Order: sequence, then C-alpha cells, then structure tokens
Amino acid sequence: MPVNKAKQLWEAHRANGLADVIPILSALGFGLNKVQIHTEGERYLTSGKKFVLTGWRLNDGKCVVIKISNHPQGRQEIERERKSRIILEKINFAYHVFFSPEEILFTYQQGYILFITSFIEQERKFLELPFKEQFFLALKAFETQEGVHATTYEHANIIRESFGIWNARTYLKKSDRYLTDIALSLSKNTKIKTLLIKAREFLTTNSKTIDLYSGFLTHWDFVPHNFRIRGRDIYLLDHSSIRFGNKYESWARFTNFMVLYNPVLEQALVEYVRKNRAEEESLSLRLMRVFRLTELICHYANTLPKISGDLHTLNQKRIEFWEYVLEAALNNQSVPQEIIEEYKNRRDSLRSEEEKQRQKVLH
Amino acid sequence: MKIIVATPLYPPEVDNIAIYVKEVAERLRNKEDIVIAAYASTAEKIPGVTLLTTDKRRPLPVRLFQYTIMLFKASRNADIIYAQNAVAVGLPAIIVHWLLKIPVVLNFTEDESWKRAKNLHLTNQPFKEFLNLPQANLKIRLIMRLQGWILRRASIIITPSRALANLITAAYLIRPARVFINYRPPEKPEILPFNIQPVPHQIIAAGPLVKWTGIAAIIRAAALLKKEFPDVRLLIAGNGPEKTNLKELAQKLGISNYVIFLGYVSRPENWYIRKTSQVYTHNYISQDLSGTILTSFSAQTPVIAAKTPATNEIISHGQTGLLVKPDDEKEIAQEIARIFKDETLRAKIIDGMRKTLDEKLSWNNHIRKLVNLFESIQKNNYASKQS
Repeated sequence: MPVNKAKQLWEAHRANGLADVIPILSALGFGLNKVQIHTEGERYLTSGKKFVLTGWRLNDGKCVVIKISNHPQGRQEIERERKSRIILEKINFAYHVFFSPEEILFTYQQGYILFITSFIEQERKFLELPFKEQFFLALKAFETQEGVHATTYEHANIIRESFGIWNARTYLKKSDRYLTDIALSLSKNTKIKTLLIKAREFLTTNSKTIDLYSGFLTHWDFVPHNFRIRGRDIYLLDHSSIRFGNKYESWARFTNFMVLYNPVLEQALVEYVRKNRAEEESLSLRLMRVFRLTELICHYANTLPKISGDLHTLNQKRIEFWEYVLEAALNNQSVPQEIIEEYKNRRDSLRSEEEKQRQKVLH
Repeated sequence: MKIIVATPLYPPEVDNIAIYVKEVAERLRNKEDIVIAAYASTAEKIPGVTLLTTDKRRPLPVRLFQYTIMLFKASRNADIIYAQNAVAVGLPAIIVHWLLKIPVVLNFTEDESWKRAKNLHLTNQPFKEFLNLPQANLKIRLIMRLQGWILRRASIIITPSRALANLITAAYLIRPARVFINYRPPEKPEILPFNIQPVPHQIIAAGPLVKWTGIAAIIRAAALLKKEFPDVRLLIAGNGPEKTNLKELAQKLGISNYVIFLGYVSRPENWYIRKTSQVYTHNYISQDLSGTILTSFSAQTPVIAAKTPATNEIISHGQTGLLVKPDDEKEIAQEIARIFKDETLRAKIIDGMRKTLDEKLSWNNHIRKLVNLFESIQKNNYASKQS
C-alpha cells in the first residue's frame, strides 16, 4: 500500500461511516459529539473495522459510548464483546465482581451493529492518582482477574465459545509469527534478530511455567485507557480483549506500559510479585513481558510500510526503545531513566498535534 | 510416616486450601514422606514431595472416578490420608479408607455447602443459621447431606476452632470425641514496596456487608467517638446487600465524610489498612469462622471484638484484645477510645497478640500438633490391625 494511503482510506471510511450512522443514531435517540477523539491521530493504524464514538442520549443528555460497525470483522468483534460481558456477569466460579459500564442499547440497524453503553465519568484519571492508590487499584484489578481460573470441564463449557483460551503452545505459535513478521520488516536490523532469538529461546525453555499459570482470565490490553475509575471500583471498558491465558499477561501489558508512564509503579509491581509470590510467578511475569514486547515491536514494524515522514521516524524510534525494554526484560534489569526520558522527548517532538490531543484524552 | 495429602485445590489456585496444602507439605517434607493428591490441570512442584494430579478438565463423574483410583493406588502403603475439606476429596478418601483400612483425617475449615450457597448468592445467612435452616437449592442440600455422611465416617476431623467443632458436631451428628482442634496460623504478612505509617484514630472493620456482621453498630460507635476524636476515620472493607443502608446510616449520623466504604480490597491493601489502623473492630453478632481476626493479630493491630464463642477462643479480654457485648455501640466506642488513649494498654495487647501468634497460632505449633495426632492415629491403627 502506498505511503499515506492507509490514512487517506481511513479518513474516507470515517467520513462515510459517520455520515451513515448519524441519522441512524438520531432515529434511535442519540447524538454524536463534535470531536471524535477515538477516530483521530494514529488511531487509523489500530482501529480495525469498527468505530468507537462518544455521544449522548437525546432525552436526558446522558453521556454514552457507541461502538458501531457494518464490516463483518467489526460486527463479529462487537458481538463477541457483548457476549463476553454477559458471560462475565454469569461466571459462577469468579471470586470477585467485575464492573462494566451499563448497557443502554444493542441493536442491528441498516447493516450496522450498534452497541451503546454508558460513559463512566471519573473524577481523576488513573495516572493522576497518588502512587499508593495506583498500586492498590492495579493489584485489586489483577486479583479480580486472577480470581477467575477456569480449571474444570464445567468452567471450560461456560467460557469456550466466548473467550479465547491460550496456553504455552498458543503463545509460542504467536511468538513465531511475530518473529517472522519482524524479520521481514526489519531485515537489516541484526540487533533485533539476536534479541528475538534470545526471546524465543527464553519462552521455549520456560514453556512449562507459561502453562502452569494458564487458564486464568486475563485482559491483554489492560492499560489505563481501557478502564475507568469510579470511587474505588475499576470499570472494564473493552471486553473484546479478555481471554483465558497466562495470568501474568495483563500484568505484562500493564507493567510494560508503565515503563513509559510510571516506572516507579512498574518496579513496585515487579518487586511485589518477587517478594510475595512463588519464584515461578516472577518468571511467568517476565515471560509474558517478553512475549508482549515482541508483539509490540512486531506491531510497530508492520506499520512502517504504511507510513511516512515524522510518523515513520517515530515508529522507528519506538522500535529502538522497545528493543531496549525487551533486552532489559531478558536480562531481568530495569530500563535506565535517561533512556526513557530521551525517548519520550524524541517521541513528543515527532508526534502530530492531533495525536498529542488524543493522548491527552486517553491518559 | 507416609502421608497422603488429598486436596481439591492446589497452587496455582489461590484459595486458602491450596495455599495451606503447599505450606504443610513444605514444612513436613524433610521429616515425612509426603504425597499430594490434587485435582489440578497444572501444579506448582515442591522438591522432595510427590505430586499426583487428576485432570480437572474431565466431566465430574469421570474425574471423581479417576481421582478415587489415583488415591487408592497412592494409599496402598500409606499411613494416613489427610483430606482437605470438600466432598470432592472426602468421598474418595472414605472409599479408600474402606478398601485399605487407612485412617482418614479430615481437615474441616469451611463448609462446602455454605460456601457454594454464598457464592451463588442463594444465602446471606450466618453459618449457624444456615446449618439449621439452609437457604439453598436441591444440589447444595444434597452436598450438605453427603458432607455430613463423609464427616461421620472420617477417623478424625480437625477444625481450626472449638466454636466450629461445636457447630458441626451438632449439625452433622458427629461424636465430639472424634473432633480435634488445631488452630490455623494466619496468612503470611505482605511485603509492600513502601513504608507503612500508622494513621492516628483510624479504625478498620471488615467482612461481608450483611446484618450479622454488625457494621451498623460500628458506624454508630464512630459517630459517638467523633465528639472526642474529631479526626476519627472508619474504613470498611467488604461488599454486600447492606451497603446502601450502611451508607445512609453514616449520612444520617453526619459522619459520611469519615466513613469510607472500600468495597473489595486486595490482599496487599487489606494488609496495608490493618497495619495503618489503630484498631480493628469486629462486631460479628453471629459466630465468625473466618480468619479475619487472625490477620489483625498478624498485623499487630489491636482487636475489639463482640464476645462470641469463636472470639472467646483467641481473645483474652485485656490481654490479647478487648471483648464487648455484641452490637453495643456504646461499649464499642468506649473500648476504641481506651485503645486510642491508653498507650500502655495498647502495648500490652500487642505484646499479648505477639505471644499468641508465637505459641498458639504459629506454624510450628500447628505442625507439631498435626504430627502428634498422625503418630497417635498410626499407633492405634497399627494396634487394632495387630489385634
């Protein structure tokens, strides 16, 4: 695909899509906000085939989140997400309760699927909270997820059709795919090649540990923009990212994210596992971090042919940075603060204004 | 001595039974021949301990049958089967006991039927009331019957308190002589990545928010304390159907800003709030069989508890805590104020709690009593076989 073509296609898709859905939503009693932050900036690289929009209910002004798609893949994703929410409420082997935004409407209209939920207002964003509150909220969320361990035949029957079930074999297979993709996109990068071989060996050698902690409910995109805080409760926003896999997968995504946004919290969580849980659990966290870092590098490597200019340079920098983090994870070390700061400065200088605005809303 | 530890749960499961089994095996492995027979698809290994598993991913009748066969084979030359609670291992253990004449020691820490009924939101009853008139579906009633049948056939039943022993002997028609009390050590302290500073005049209460946990009286007590201690803060950990009523009560008493409903709290946060609080208030009107008081002992947070058979067992008034008349807000407030003001009393209680932890509630004590019991059963069993 020619450079920038992807963005142009997305913009056209967005314009047509919004023109289509505004009258549908209006007939159903909903209006759309003027600015749709989740369709802007770099979103075109990750958005897939559905729109995530914000709006309000016309009769009472209630703020809502609208997920909408007319594409088979997007429709399937939304249907699966709704089913996951329903199953999650019914799971009878969960130790704790999951909070989800209230469902307002789920319907099919003129070839579109629409899923509308309430918008959860939060007094403060997660990253604005004091350190201890962040630490305890994160642990509460992880414990809630870990409290759902599908171990029996009866449990498997409940979750089989709604959630993916991953084990060491699945993780290794995925890891192989990422490695192939990265090798194709970054064929001249010998450093990454060596690192990825090391990562693959690390995962293979410890595949039993991956399996040992599998079968747990995990949110593979567990980062602050996918949950909201109300009072002392965490509301999960994206149920399509839930699967049953290694219990440290959501920890891994979260701690990798915190390398950039709150390294003190990242270190505190890693230390917490090391000092309070079995040795294999610390190893499991490292394994999942390595897996997710490989995936992240693969994601950025795959975007390179679709982008140009500053964004291309930025994604190259991103790959370099996450390489550092991967190397640190493999060596069981933390990333030096100066490397994080240097990367953040460079990233901010290369980000578009539109993307900067989107990031402000997200975090 | 070869001991088969039969368990329905084992790490990576996070349930208390799972954690207990691993701890017991680790502590016994150097002196005894330990075999863990667990229902598990994956399991954490312990060097020097044999781990046998039955895959849980089979339909219930299949896995029950497979587990029984596995337990039978493992028990051929064993001395004791130490079964952890549940029906899922209790039934196979009793079958093997019949076939091989091996004594079964059943560790009864929680009632399977009550636990299930609570998890399915079928009941909010306290345990005693549930045993008398259970709010439960047919399946749970059958489990209850089966559990009673198993309990009556176990060689010895271990319970973590006299209060629990009294309840189950009456409800399940067990001969009291076959029940042995062995106090359970509290959970391990949490290691947190920051310093913990005590908060003056902070009170903690925890438990399900239902009528019988007596939270309303603690809120009323906090309101009484407000006059003398304007900075008093009451933290309430837990969820339940009474939450709205309790919030309204705090509002009505004009202390809603000082009563903080924490909802479910994680294990590390539970530890943190106990350590930072000056007093833990426990006003369970019905008998409490949870380990929540023990967590406060471990955190060395003085406990003020409603006087019931269960609290009487671990709290000696003025020595290891303070006992009050159940649901009496004036007495609760009065005793909290004593802890706030009297540093000597506070220090004395903390010292008493430490001694109780070291003696009565320690792992060493628990294991010593367990081994002594196993040895005496083994001797009796050997003697009866000889005769």
